[in-house]
Amino acid sequence: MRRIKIALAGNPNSGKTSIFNNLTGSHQRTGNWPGVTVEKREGYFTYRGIKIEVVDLPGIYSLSAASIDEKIARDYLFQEKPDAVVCIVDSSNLERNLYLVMELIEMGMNVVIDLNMADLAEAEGLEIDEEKLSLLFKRPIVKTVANKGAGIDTMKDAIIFAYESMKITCECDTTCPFYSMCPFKKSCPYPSSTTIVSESPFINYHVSAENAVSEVSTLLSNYHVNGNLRWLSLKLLEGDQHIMHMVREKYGIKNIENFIQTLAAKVEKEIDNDIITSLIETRYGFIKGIVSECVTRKRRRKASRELSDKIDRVVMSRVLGIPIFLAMMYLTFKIVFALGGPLSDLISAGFDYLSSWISNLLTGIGASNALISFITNGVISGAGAVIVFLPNILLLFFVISILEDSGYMTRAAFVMDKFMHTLGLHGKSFIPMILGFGCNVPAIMATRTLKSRKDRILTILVIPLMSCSARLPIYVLFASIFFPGHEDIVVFSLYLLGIVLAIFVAKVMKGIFFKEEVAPLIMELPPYRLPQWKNSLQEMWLRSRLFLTKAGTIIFGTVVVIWILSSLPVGVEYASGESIIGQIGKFIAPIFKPAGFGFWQAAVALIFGILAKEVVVGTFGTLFGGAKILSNVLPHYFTPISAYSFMVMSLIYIPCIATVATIKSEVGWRWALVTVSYSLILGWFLSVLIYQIGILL
Amino acid sequence: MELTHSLEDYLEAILIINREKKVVRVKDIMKYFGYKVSSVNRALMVLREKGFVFHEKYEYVELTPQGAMIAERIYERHKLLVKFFSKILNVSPELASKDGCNIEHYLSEESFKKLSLFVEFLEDRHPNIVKEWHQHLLAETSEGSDSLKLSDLKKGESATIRKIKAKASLKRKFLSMGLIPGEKVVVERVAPFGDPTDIVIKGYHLSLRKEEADQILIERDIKS
Repeated sequence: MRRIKIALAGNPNSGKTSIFNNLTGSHQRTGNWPGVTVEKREGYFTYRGIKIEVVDLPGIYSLSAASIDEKIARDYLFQEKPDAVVCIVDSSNLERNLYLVMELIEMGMNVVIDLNMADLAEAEGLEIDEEKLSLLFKRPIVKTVANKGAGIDTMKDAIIFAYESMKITCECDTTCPFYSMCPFKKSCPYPSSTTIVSESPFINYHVSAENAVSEVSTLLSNYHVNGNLRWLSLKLLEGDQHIMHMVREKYGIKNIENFIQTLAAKVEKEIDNDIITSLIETRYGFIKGIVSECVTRKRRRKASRELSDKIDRVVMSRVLGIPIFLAMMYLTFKIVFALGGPLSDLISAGFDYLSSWISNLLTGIGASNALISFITNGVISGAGAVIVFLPNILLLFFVISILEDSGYMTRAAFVMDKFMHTLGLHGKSFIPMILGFGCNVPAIMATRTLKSRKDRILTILVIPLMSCSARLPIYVLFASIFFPGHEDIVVFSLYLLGIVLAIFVAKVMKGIFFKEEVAPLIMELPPYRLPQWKNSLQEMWLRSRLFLTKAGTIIFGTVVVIWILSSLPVGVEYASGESIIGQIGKFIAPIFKPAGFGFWQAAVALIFGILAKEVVVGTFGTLFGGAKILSNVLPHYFTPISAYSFMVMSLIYIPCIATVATIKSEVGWRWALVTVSYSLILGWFLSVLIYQIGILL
Repeated sequence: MELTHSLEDYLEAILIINREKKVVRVKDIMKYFGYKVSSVNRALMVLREKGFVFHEKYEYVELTPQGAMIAERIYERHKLLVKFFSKILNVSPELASKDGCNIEHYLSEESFKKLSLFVEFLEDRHPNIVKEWHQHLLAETSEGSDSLKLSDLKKGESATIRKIKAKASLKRKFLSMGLIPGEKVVVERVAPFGDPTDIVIKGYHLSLRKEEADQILIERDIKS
């Protein structure tokens, strides 16, 4: 079967994901773009006997490489040279959307223009003359309403047409299968085949700028630079540092920077305008001309925008903005945890049942204790440790996708941005941090809504300081034994400490890792739209699957390793002082002496706490002979001060393995290690500080 | 019967307060100027001696017919001057009021009458000339006022983009999102904490922080 490779490009909120889902159905997979933490989606479909592979590029406004998304999209197009690029355009906002189309055409891409949300444009009283638009852009145009699946087959035809038109002989009659979408019809300027695509230039700039472009092109061709030289020259004149770097390093044009600067200065003097502005102005001018020729406004009212504005008047108002935001957060939190919690409990109970059932079964057939322990404590609890997160994660991604698709997410960011920005974070950081109080794992996954790498990583680094629900059992155990009657204040103080530390850590980490980086907030507030169930469900499944495969493996592996360490050498009681893990506990216990809990049981409990924080409680139960007598035993080991310092340590030190694994799968080992090390150091330091000050008082 | 400018201002203030509140107390005058009670009382004493106000301690202040005449004269001039400066010369309301307060004391009867007729003539009979003059004004002064930024606009105000003053990569970003010179922007709203701002450009909503809005130079649209 023949294969072709196409890319989907388009502005954010143009309905690109919906088109992608419609094209590929269930044949899709997610991953990351190489070397970065931006989500990559790929899929395929077959049509007219051709297998068409689709790459969904990140949503972008232009190819200026100002953001990581734009750079990824541009690098992909430049290096992979897809056979066709479908540019999805929001028909109700043509001018800005067509800018990307222009850039793709200038880059030399084989573009199919998709006027998506055609129904919205109609509702707003816009009439678009597609045929004329197609002729002026010299590209095939299709109309779609992606969320209703309308126009998708025509799009498939158009993709093949765009691809074939590079080679086939054009028939130019109504029997041609592509006649309906051919921009030229009978006035085809290419009666005998050949390429539509390489025809250039697409638009002409100011004559001084054009002269500069040819000068740069000449230089580039002298150095045998590959690619569309006109486009490269334009980008160089726009001051594009990435292209500058490539040309200098790969082709050895050492003086390129000076050459461009001198040339740009000359042009700027001649046209009395700076060159970047002039080039982009010309493109927009061209688009404006096309739009005014092809679009007629039948009615003046903009129905959907008006409704959207009305909602915004309430949702983003000075008085109600914050309360509404908090209410939405409360609702999100409730759905993810209150709805997910019982399901997680059910899964836990299911695994416990499975565990005892298998244990009985194995005992019945005379299996050794070691094997039984391996299967129940190792394998089954390992699998359980992964799957127990699934309800929360599924619900989280469902809710997030609804918040994003409806358009509320950007409003939330708008309302909270000032506050979060003073902490060095982004308005959208707030939602993941709130989720962190429920569980750090979905919280870290929720940072996907953050587009800037800096904002995303900083948010991820502080999320572990949000006291998740698994830490509560530790707090409750110690507070009820050592601070009876004051449990609420003690627990509250720990939550508060976490928040204060998060602010502090965000500041410090920004200073260490992102000193120079600024992430400007230039965020579109799209009109509100009804989210599509089908889309949200697909989104939910794809992202959750990634958690199972990537983070799941690490979590499972760690559970098994801890089991091995607890059971060796052969014959020891599980996790006792003689096991390897007990030995390790004894070895590291002295480190915690200044913090007031320098005995091996505490160290072992902390090691087990890495599996999941609430396991600390269970481990104490095991080590001290049963959970019921803990209230009698623990006061022999802890004083109220050391109990508090132990709680502080539990709050801060290494987030559980699931969190670490999720950080790794989201942004890589480096940041997982940074989190582990800073949390260990900070946790130890603070608990020592608290204990030492406490015994002085 | 010469009065100092400050005493004339007192009479004018009493008139203005009187129209708003029916009765005038010393406290109102203090609030109007932001002066201390001692200075207000001293001024009232002088005005009473000269026969411009009735005022007994702890009672309402009232203008005598003579006082009312002077107050009216000053206030009429004030209103005319503010109108001329703000509507015709397109000076900001604050500055127009300040200049009005200063000049009102000096304007002769004849100049006042003729200026009044002039403003009336332009506003009622030749609004197009005013419009053309405003365009001329804009063209002439915008080069000089290099400092007006998008972040200076308040909610509901609109402007035209003049220039993007950012480093290359951010400039490309702004421009490619449609923030190009000559394009109209409207400030829709400001976030609850005072930042960021929601603007409308090319028919869509965009939010920018103050740091970003600072780098976009604009020309304020003249309200007509």
